[in-house]
Amino acid sequence: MTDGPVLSLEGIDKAFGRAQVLKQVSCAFRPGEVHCLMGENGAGKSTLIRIISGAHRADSGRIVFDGVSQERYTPAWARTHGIATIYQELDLVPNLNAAENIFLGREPLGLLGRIDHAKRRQRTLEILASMQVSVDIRRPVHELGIAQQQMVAIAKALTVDCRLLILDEPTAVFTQTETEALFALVRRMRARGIAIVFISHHMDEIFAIGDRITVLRDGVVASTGPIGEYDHDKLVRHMVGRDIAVGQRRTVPADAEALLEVRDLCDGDLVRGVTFSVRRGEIVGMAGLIGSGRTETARLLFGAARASGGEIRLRGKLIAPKTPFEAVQLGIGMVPEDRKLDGLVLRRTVGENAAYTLVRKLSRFGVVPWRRVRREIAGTVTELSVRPNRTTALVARLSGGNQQKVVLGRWLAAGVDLLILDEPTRGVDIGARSEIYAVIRGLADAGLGILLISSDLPEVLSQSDRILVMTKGRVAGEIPGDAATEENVMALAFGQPGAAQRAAA
Amino acid sequence: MSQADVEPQAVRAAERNEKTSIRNLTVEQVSNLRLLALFVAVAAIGALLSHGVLLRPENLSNILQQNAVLFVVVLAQFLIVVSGGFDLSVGAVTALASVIFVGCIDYGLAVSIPAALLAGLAVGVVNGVLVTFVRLPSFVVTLGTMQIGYSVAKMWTGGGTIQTGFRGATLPQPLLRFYSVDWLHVPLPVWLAIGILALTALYLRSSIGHFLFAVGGNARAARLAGIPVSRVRLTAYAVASLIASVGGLLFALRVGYGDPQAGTWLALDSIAAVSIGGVSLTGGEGSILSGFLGVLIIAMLDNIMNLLGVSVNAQPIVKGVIVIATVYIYSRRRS
Repeated sequence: MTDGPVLSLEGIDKAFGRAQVLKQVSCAFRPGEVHCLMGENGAGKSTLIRIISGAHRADSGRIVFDGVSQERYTPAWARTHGIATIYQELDLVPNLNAAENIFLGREPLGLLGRIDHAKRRQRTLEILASMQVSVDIRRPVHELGIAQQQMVAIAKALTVDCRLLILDEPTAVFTQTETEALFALVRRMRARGIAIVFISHHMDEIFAIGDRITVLRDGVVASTGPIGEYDHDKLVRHMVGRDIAVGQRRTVPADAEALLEVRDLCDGDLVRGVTFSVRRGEIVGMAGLIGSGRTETARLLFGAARASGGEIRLRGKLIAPKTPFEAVQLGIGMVPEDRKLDGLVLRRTVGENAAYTLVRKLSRFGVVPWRRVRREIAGTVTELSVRPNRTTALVARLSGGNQQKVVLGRWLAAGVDLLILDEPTRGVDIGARSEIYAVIRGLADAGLGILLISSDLPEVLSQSDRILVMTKGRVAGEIPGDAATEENVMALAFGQPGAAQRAAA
Repeated sequence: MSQADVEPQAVRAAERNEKTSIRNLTVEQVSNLRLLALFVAVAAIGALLSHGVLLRPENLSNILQQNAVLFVVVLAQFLIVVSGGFDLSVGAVTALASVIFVGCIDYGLAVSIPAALLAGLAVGVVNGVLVTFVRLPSFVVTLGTMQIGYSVAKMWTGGGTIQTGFRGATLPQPLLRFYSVDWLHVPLPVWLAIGILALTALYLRSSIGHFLFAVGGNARAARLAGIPVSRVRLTAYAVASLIASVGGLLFALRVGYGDPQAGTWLALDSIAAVSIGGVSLTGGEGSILSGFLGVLIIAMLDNIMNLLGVSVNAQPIVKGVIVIATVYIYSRRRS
């Protein structure tokens, strides 16, 4: 073995359908080096690690392992050559204990092909000892804490001679002490000459553990180099530096009627004292990283989850919706984040899916004026130019953008005052996107208050009249639409010290 | 001419197109077409094998009359299957209703009919509450209420059948002729079943009935669309058991007594009928007519086998094969 990289990627391209996710990405991972991958949501990090682990095949480019280009690079090949990935969703069997999980499918066998329990136990203890961590190996892993489970997953990776270890946002749900324990382990593995790929959204972690940084932006390597060459500002600049088209925006007068006022809204660890307001006719963007508590806040407002504290006022009146049914009655609508799982009844038709709120609104004592419902829904479908323009088409057959128009259409006729949109254009092509933006603006002009949750920064920046940035369950700051830049929003989202003051200034 | 006048015309034109273009058929309509084809095929083959006896009016009338109870009960099963569950208690509700109907006959029909229906409704509410609010699987809940229902009916009669009420009154004679009278060549019990079908269709056009398809298709999405999911489910269970208890009244009218062993086959036969009818067993899809057609196909099969002299012991084999084969065909179509 030489001092050269364990693995290097050369000119990797990858597209899903028409979406080019990675463009000419090159990257080298050296032994004894912690290589941090950074980038916004959707910059291509996940795709890149899936290519390293063999789960995805690159469309073009080379994967070079120990100096030799590998043509047939599969998950099995990667695994047997010591390339291990610890995803956020750990692939452990919850009801098996640590030893059983670590040697799953590779159990040490004794006489007559029996599993040699004593040997398995012994080897598990050896591995854990070499990691200098202690895990109760008799208990099923689901009884262990999440950090301990992660140690088990890492131990599993170390059973083969591990050369490259990928950690995908390993600290996302960790406490401070758990994070420190993980870092100690990472440093020991680095000392053993293992190459480590570390993905995190927290900059302080990157600076604490990283040796080298690669920043991805829109599927290309925006910047790469030793950690010493970077500081917070430079990192943020590389992550977001791109042109964005600013849409039509307007400033709603501060004395406009406050439609929604939220104060100190809480729900466990996810939402920790959220305060903000939305005025009539205003589109309020809500930016932040995945897991910052935006979706959870939306679910509290819509009655899909129960708040543990705080208050919500709608049109000045204190409300506490216990179910979405109640929330709709109060005048709140929501377009959920996951269209297929939460938004649509896929085996029903376009018309039915668009009409649920209308049926509710127009029916008296259960009697539905079907003729009128059909007429209005046919109108809505035409107005939103849903394609195909047929209310009897199965909604499952529609493209993502058209499906989203159907969900949106549901709220057009519902007569709500506040509409919460959670990632309304995820997986939606450019054309449908601008149509959706026009509809949203139209609703705001009609006097609705809009809360636009989005991980797509250009979207938030171009569509919002005002932007709230959430971090770790709180509103970290608020920026007027025209003052917002990718830099100051991202700085707040990453919880960079002093960012709030600078943004406010 | 203003824009407002033009648009409804365009919409009406679009609606006309929907009705004429075969590509625009909805899921339910397509499966109805296939089902109709299956139905015609079974009828044709049966007519051939039985040298035309199958399709003689008096034979057809017989088939319908003998299966009137199943025609009613399949409607109940249909509602629960659409909601994404199974109702194993339909047979027990039928038995219980037949026993209570006869058992309370001394107080007159004005008391005994509502009493029988209320008993059914009560079982449905229990099913609904346990499924909706306690969140237990419908299969297990209705398995339990099925056993309880049969047991209560047996305790009422002491185990056997029941011909009279507390004070010895029997079902009034004119009612017992209900089964033997035809109107427009169709037996009255079948007309009753058709009436219940119409009421069920009406229920499915009400808002709470319409939402059943959404709840069965994707309960999470239904909830987030502001649909009162619990209320929709609970109502479906109550309505289903109410329908099943009408089946119990019909049963008692047919045989002239109440029977705690009535309808032990109904739960499974009704599930078989909705499967043959192409109703998705995972919920959210299916047409009410397809359940009816499913029963008709099963009934014709029974009849053909009887006409051909197939041993009673062997007949269920054919039925079993047919159920599995049709569900296989439907599953292929979906994937």
